[in-house]
Formats: sequence, C-alpha cells, structure tokens
Amino acid sequence: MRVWVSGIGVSTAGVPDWETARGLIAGEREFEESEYFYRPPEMLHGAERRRAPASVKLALDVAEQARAMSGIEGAELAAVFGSMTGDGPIFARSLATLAEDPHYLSPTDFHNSVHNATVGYWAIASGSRHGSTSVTAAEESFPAALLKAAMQALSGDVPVLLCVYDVPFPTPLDVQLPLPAPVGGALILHGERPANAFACLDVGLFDGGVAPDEPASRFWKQAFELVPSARMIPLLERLAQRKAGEEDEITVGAVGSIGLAVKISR
Amino acid sequence: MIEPARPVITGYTAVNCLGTGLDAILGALRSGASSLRPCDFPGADFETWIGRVEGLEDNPVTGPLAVYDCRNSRLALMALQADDFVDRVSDCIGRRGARRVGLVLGTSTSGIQEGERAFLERDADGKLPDWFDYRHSQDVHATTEFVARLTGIEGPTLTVSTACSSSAKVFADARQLIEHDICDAVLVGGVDSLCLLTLYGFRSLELTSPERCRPNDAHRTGLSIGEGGGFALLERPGGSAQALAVLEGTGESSDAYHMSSPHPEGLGARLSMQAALQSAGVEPEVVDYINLHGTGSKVNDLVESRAVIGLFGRDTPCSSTKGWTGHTLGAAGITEAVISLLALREGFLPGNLGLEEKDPEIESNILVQSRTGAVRHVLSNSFGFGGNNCSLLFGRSSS
Repeated sequence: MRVWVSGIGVSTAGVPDWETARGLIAGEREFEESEYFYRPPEMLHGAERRRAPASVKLALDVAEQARAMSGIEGAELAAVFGSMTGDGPIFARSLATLAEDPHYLSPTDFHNSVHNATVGYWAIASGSRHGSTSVTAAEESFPAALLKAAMQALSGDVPVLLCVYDVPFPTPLDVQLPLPAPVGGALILHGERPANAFACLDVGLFDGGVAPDEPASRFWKQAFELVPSARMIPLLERLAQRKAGEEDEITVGAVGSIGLAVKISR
Repeated sequence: MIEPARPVITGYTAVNCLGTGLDAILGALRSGASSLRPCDFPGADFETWIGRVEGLEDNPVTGPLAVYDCRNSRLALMALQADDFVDRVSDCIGRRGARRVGLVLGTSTSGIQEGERAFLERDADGKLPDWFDYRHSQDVHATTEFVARLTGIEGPTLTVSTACSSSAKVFADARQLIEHDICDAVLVGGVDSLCLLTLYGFRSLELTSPERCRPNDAHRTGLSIGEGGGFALLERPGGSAQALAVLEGTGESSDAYHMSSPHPEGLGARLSMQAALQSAGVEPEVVDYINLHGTGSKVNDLVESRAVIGLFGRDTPCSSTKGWTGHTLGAAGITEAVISLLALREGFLPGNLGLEEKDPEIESNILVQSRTGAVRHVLSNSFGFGGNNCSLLFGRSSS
C-alpha cells in the first residue's frame, strides 16, 4: 500500500518536537536528559484544557505538530489513534476508588478512561466529523495502527492522522508495565500524493520475520525497548535522513504473526 | 479511492444474557422474554438491572492458555464454542491458510475485573498481589490475543476500543483488510464483560436505570448494563463456504461535540448512516429495518430518532433490542449485528421490548411488537463515548 507523508510529530523526554528530533538524529544537537513536560493542549478550551488527562495532552501535542507541518485543517482529517496503555493514571486512580468507595468514582475520570478519549478530544478540538478510531495490539500497537491508517488513507477520501502514544503507569501498576517515559508520535498520511509530500511509504506484509529494526541513535534506545509507541522511532529516523532518490526499507514489528515492512522513498 | 469490497458473512454467533448461540437468542426474540435482572453482580451495591451471562464463574480458561483466564476471556471462549463456531473458524483457516485470516475484535474494558480484584488485595505497602497479570487480562488487547492463540489465526490481529461502537467498527476494518488484499477472511467480533468500572461509571454519569431499561419509552430512566460476546466470519466473495449474508456497507463518523453526550441534532449519527448507504451505493428506501443504538437514555434515543427521521423519514421500521440484552457496550456492535443477521435470515423484525408508552417526541417508526415481513436490507447503529459512530448495512446473499 503506497501512502505519502506530509506531516510528522514526536514527543518524549528530551525530544519535545520533530525539529529537535531531526537535529538530534543529524548529530547537530546534543541530547540532554530531562523530565518529560506535558504541554497543555492549546486546542482545547477552559476546563477541558485544565483537566485534560496525560494521554490527551501527549496525543494532541504530537497530533497538532503533524497537522501544522502538513498545513491541512484538522477538520479535513480522518483519524487512527493507537496505544497500549490508554491512560494509566486514570486507571490507577479509578481502580483505587473502586476498591475504597466506588460511589465516589469520578464521572469525568470514567468518560476519560475509554481508550478512544484521546481521539474523541482530537475530534472535538479539530472539529473533524470524519471517521476516527482507536486501536491497540499491546506491544505491537504501532504496526497495527500504521496498517489501519494506511488502509484508511487509501479507502477513504480524506488524509489520515495517525497518532500513537503511551503514558507511564503510576504506582502500583508501574510494576506490571514499566515505561521509562511517555512517547508519542504522529504522521499525516495521504492516499494520493500531496503537493507538499515529505516522503512516500510503501507499507506491506513481510515474510522475513517480525523483529523490528532498532533505532540508530542511542538516546532513545531504552524508550524503544520498553514503550510500544517508540516502535515508530526507527521510521522517524529514516524519514529525517531520507534523501531524494534513495530508498530504505525497515520492519516496524508484527501484525498478528506476520512482519510489517515499510519502504521509505521520496 | 478504491472500490469498496463487499465481503460475505459465512458464519456468526453470540452469547449474552439471552443464552448461548443463535437458537437461544432467536427463541428469546420470538417469545419476547427478557433476561435482564436486578443487579446481583458482586460488589455493585446500588439499584439497577443488568444483563448477566450465566456460568462464567464456573468455567475458567484452563490448559496452555490459562494465563489469559479472566471474565472477558471466559466470555470469549463461551462465544467461540457456541454453535461450534470454533470449528467454522478452523475450517476457514483450512480453506484460506492461517496467514490469510485476520482477527479484529472490539472491547471497551477487556479483563479489567482482574485489576479491580487486585486493588482490593493490595498489601500494607500498597503493592498488588502476585497473581495479578495485567498483560494477559486487563490489557485492552489481551482477549484478542487469547482468541488468536486459541484459533490459530496468524494474519493481522488488532483490537478496536472505541467504547460502545467498538465491535461495529471491526466490520469496517475487516472490509478494508479484504479490500487491500491483506486477508481473504477476517474473524470479527467483540467481547465485553460486566465490571465495577462500567457499572459505577455509568451510575456516576446518572445513566443507569433503577428498573429494566425501556428504550424509546416516554418514561425511560436510563440503561441496563449487560455483557456479551459474539463473532462473525467475513470472507472474500467467491469462496467455497456458503454465504449467509453480505456486508453491503459501513459508515463511520465523529460527533466532534462532547465526550459523553451526543450531538443534539444527531449530526454524527446521521453522517454514519449516510456513509453506510453511500458505500453500499443504495438509497434510504431500500432499508427494511433499522436496529437502533437505543440505549434507553433520555438524550440518546431522542437524538437518534431525529437523525433517523432526517435521513429516512417517518416510515422505516426501527427498534432497540437492548430491552432483551441490555447495553453490552463494547460488544453491542456484534450483539446487534447478529440480531440484524437473524432478522435477515428469518424475515423477522424484532419489536422494541420494554416499550409501553412511546415518547411523543420520538417520531421515528418504532416497532412496538415484533412482526414478520420481507427483510432484504438491515441497518445497525452503534454510537460510543467520544462521539464515535458506526453504522453497518447488511443484505441478503444472492446465492
């Protein structure tokens, strides 16, 4: 399946955006370790912005980065969001409340606990009434979401926002799923070549195995190993380094028992 | 844009409070017997009615896949065994090859009941008990992975989690997998089991009914939460298995309005129904019956009626069947797809169980009583939190 990329977003500890990521990948910048800062979502208003859960802040941050780079109105995009964690902090808080006094379960926490809360807030903020979905395949959530987004870009009549994100679990759930930092990434994908195409991706099943290619830059190796959404990083590296006329192919992981490969070209 | 695929449906089944398998469900639909009951779910201490599946407590997942044991996987297993469905899946894998068969399941809360139990057993330091295994129970993809391993499906496998539209949207994903020649067949479905998070969550939003739910009734008081699981096999047309029905069209939309309230004019609902008709290339007149989302909440039922009238006018027969099954949330899409497929097969239009006095503001043609009649096209609606909408159009098979 051939799709084109017109926008890219990324955010994790020490890498707040795509421009920083490009500089780091090119060796033009030094990586500095830092605590992750959740940027408040400017797209939301009032109480929704103040009370936005961590997952929504992260997802809307990278989604808006990619959208801004593409120059497309958010209302003109379909959306495929993918995550293993959903919002871990809300689950930890809600499970504690249910164990202590379930009558105090917060209605806001409850409606924000659904896996599609992030894409729901994206639709509200962007005004998009196009189809939107929220998918997961545990550790393989990125390949699953990429496969779905590529199909959607080709089957639908509007470009697709692909957004993947994972948020660390607070104690005591962190023991079950130890994530070192939040990681989010986003791409705007087109079924037809747009005037401002940044790169072309050929996405397809691959018979040569399911082991994902690893990132070249050392600074996000730990995130890559532990955070499902960081499976996007090797693809982002190739996108940052791509040159006209060059092709590059990587395996991004598994969909079911089959590898998913992406050929990157200009 | 590429030409939409029209996969055929070669098998389907479901389990919910009405019973296990198609005969039990059809029997209850014909007799008008509801199996909703006053809430007796352990730990849920407030007045409401639920649709509970019998026997889950006594049938753990054992053997090599015991690591997945939880209420949700038990329900998935029960649904796979209903009508010997697992044999149909094996047969399909035999005909198509394991790598050409995909798996897309919907759920909202997966096995979160394990997390609820684990938090009750935290030790003095707040640590969770050793038996708790998030990855194979509470994780949103756990039940799907369990089904993949149980059936031997090796093709693309993913979980859709868009609250109450989850297991309707799986049909649209399956259609794309066939359209793009990634799969020849896809097992779709959904499983959602009762848990305290959803029971108390809907209560906190003041959406649970203290009585049996009565969708579209003037005096409706909210939802009866249910649990259920179901599956359907979608295949590329032209295979050797008998086609029971056709997935004619799928439509998806977003409200872009509010996290837990629908758009007041039902704009998103109308867009998804319109998209389903458009993808099938048919006019609204061909639809013989609409299975409504019809939760029994004041707002949902009214808004859905406005959307239906806006597109179909006041004549098309429609009903909510949640008076039978309760609202099975992430399994509602597959539960009502199965009911829609039974309506097509039997020429049977289920009434709106529980309706005593129709809400005068609901002007769509709500079927009070079940009746028989020619059914060639059925539309099924599923709408979820986040303003996530999906409509499916099923048609009779020409073979």
